[in-house]
Amino acid sequence: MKIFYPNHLIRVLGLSLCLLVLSLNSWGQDQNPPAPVQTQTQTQRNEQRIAQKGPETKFLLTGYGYTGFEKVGSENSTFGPAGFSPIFLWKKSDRLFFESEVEFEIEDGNLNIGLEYATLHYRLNKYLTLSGGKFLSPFGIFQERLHPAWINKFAEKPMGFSEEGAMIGPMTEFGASLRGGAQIGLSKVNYVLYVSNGPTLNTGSSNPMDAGRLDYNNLGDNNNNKAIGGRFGFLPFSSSWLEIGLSGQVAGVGNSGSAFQNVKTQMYAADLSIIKKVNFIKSNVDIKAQYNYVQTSKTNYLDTAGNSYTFNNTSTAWFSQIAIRPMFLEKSFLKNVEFTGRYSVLKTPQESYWAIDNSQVAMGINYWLKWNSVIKVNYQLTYSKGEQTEPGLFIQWGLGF
Amino acid sequence: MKKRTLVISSILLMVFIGMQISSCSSQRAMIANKTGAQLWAENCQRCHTTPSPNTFNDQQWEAVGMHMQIRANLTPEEIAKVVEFLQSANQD
Repeated sequence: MKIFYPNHLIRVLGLSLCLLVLSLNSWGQDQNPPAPVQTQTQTQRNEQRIAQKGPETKFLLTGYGYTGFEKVGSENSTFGPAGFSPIFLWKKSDRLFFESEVEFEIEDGNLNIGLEYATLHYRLNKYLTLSGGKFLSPFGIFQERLHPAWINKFAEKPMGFSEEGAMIGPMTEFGASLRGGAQIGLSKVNYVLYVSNGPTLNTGSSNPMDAGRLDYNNLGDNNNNKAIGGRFGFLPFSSSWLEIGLSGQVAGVGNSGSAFQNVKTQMYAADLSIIKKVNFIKSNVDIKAQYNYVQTSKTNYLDTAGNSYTFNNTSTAWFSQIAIRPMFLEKSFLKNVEFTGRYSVLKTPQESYWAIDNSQVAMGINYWLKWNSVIKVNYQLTYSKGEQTEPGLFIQWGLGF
Repeated sequence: MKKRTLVISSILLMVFIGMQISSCSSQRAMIANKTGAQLWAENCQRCHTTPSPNTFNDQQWEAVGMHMQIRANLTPEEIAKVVEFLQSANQD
């Protein structure tokens, strides 16, 4: 295998070393635990063990579904999109675990079916789990933790974080990862390091209008240069109300043996999560933010007339959102209401055919029917450079099960 | 190059700060004495609303626990306490 980026490998090894140091530090603190107090007879313990013993495999079919209604700009109003995403969980033992999500979605009159993820996990020790397969990308927090309809505070995903318009950063990876978490004093850290197929460069050979875009659905790799990425999360306070994270990924994206084989992409993300009870408004305040930066090295493409051109291929997308739920009020109706607001920005290369320079403001009111069932009403305004502001009304009902 | 250096430096700084935050015995005891209910409230709501213990039976909670430990990178001690709490509080 041709090896790229020796400097990146050094950094990855450095990061791995940090994780090892963390593991040893925490391991040292956990040695010599106090011996358990012998308060039961052996017979009682055996009876308890037999009573607790269930089937070897613990299985659960869970998931989520959603449906809605939308009216965007001058387009016709329509019911939808609607989706059903069953999630299969199998715990084979305390170390071996499999999970998979299948996605069915009706959008724009089409039924889309996809394998969102299918991942095998093996817990190596208390600090590291080895995983392999297709998995949600730990590049930032949105795709891995916040995207399901019953978790996302809005009917729509932020700009740049969905396949509508442009994806700035991956949604899934196909590869292997090492991940875990550790307590360090009052603080906690979590970490993921992965190797995957990474994205593919669209060279514009079939449609010049797409030249320079990245395709993140790289299920069969187009080269031997695997993407290397990771995320490091830090929770400084013992009650875990604040988490900050940094992510990175480097990848060769051009086809092997082509004129684009040396084209590389580097991407970075920073994320923030705050969840805090604010007494004077008797509410839980939930703030989330993520900034994605994707840069692909300059190369020459052919325009629609067949002439060579190039451009600075850098894209950014970010969002910040807040949700306030007065859940500590006594009125049962009001405590189930949540007020939301989000600002997101998407910028793609202005010299490319797929140039976007948009920002969006979304506001909403959510009503929680149960802990896992929410009705969202959102109004959003999308501002595009040189175009009229586009309003949108979205109603969505999400249910986790 | 400068940006990459900045990102790597930030990661190392965060690791350093994390390790330097005091880990005296009273603090370790406070962490160790957290109940499953407390950890359930603190950790689940970082991403989503906290589930009712009655949502699943004992064995289903074990599968959910492993799923969430991996997804949220929880420590084994945390998830063991959370699952034990949910199993003890449900009607199963």
